[in-house]
Amino acid sequence: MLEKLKEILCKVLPGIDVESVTMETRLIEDLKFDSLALMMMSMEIEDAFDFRFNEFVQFETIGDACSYLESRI
Amino acid sequence: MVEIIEVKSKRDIKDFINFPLKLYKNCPYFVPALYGDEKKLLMGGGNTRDYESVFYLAKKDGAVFGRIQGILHKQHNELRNEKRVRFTRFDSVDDKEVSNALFEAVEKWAISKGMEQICGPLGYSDLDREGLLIWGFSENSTYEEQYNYEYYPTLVESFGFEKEVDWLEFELTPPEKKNEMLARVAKRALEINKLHIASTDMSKKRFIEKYANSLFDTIDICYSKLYGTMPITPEERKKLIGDFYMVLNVKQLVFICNDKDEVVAFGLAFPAFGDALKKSGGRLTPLTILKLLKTLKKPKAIDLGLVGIRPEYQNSGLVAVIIQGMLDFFEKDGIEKCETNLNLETNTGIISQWKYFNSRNHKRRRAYIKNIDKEKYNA
Repeated sequence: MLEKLKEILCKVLPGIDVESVTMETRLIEDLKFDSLALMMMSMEIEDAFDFRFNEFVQFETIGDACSYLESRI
Repeated sequence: MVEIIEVKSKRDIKDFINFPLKLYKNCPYFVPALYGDEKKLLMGGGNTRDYESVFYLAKKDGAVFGRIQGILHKQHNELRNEKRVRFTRFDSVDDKEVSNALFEAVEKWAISKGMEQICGPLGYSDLDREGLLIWGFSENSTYEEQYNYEYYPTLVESFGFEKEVDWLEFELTPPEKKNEMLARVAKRALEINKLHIASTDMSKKRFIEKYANSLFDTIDICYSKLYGTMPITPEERKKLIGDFYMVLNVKQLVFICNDKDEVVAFGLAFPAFGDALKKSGGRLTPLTILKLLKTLKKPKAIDLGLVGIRPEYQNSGLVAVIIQGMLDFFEKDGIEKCETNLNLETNTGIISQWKYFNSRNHKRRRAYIKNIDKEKYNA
C-alpha cells in the first residue's frame, strides 16, 4: 500500500523525495501539500483503487491514508 | 515653516484632492482615485456612525506640500479592544519637516480622542487603498492600490513608525502547459461538495441582486480574522456595489454556490482599467470614458479583487474551481495577465496557489504602527 501511495505522490507532486516518505510522513507539514494537492491525491487514489469518495477526506499522514484504504478495499 | 491646516473649506477640499495629482503628474506608474468619489468623501467630512475622520494639509508660504487623513474606526477599536487611529491619503514632498508635521497633527487629534496608537496607511475597510509601497517602485499601480514614491518609507520610518504587517503582490500570466489535473480537480471538488458555479446567464443588475448579500456575508466570514478587516456595513455594501457596478463583468467572476444559491466561495476579478485612468486626473471626461469602455469591452489584463472560501469548505479543493475559472478567463477572453493586488504575507494559503500560474512577486506593501508619545505634546 505504501509503495502504491508513493507512486501517487510522485504524480501529484513531481520532484518529491519519495524515498524519504514513511507512514509517519505528514502531508501538509512535511510534504508541503496545499488544499489543491490534497484534492489531487484523493482523485488519484480514486483512479488507482477504483472507488469514489462520497465526501472530501483529509488525511494527516501517509499512514492515515493507508489505514483508510485498507478499510475500504 | 510648515503650517498645518485642517480641511474645512471648498478651497481646502480642492487642494487636498489635487495635491497627489500634482505630485505624481509626471509619474508613469501612478493611477489616480476617481475625483468625484474623493470629492464626495471630503464634502461629507468622511464621518459616519462608525467612523470619525480628519483631513489635514501641510502648507509652506501658502503652497501645499503634503496631505493626510486620520480615521478613528470606532467599531474596529471596540471589536479588537484597541485604541488606534489610522492614517491614509498620506502624500508628501521629500521633506521630513512636512511629513513629521502631518503625522504630529494626526497624533494630536488621536490624543484628543483618547487614542494611544497610530497605524496605516489603512482606509475605512480592507477594500480601500491601503499599505505603503516599499518595494516595486517601477511597477504600474492598479486602480485598487495607491502608488507612492520611493522616499515615502524613509519619511514614515523616520517619524518612528515600525512594520506591523506586509502585503505581497504578484503578476500572474498563464502557464505554458495546460494543467489537465486542475480542471479535473475543479469538477470533482464541485461534485463532492455538492456545489455549483453561479450562472451568469442574466443581466448584471439581476446577478448582483441575486448574489450580492450572500457574497458580502461570505467576505465577512472569510476575512474576519485578517489584519485590518472589519465586517462590511450595509451602507458600505451599497457604496461598494455603486463603485464597482460600471466595471464589473459578471463573466469574470467565479461564484461558487450551495443548493440555496448562496455564495460560499468566490473569486472577484475586474478588468484592469488603471491604464485608462492614468493622466485623467481621476476625472471621467469623454476621452477617459471612451478609454474605460474600450478596456471593459476587451481587457488585456485583469485585477484580482478578492478571493475567499468559507471555513467549512476550505481544504476541499474549491480553490481549484477558482483558479480554473481564472485560467478560463485568460483563455476565453484573451487575458494576458492578472494582478493579484494585496496578499497578506502570512496568507500562505492563497499565495501558495499562484504556483499554478507563471507568477512574479513584483511589489510589497507595508502597514506601519507607532505608539503615540503623549508626553511629547504636553511639553
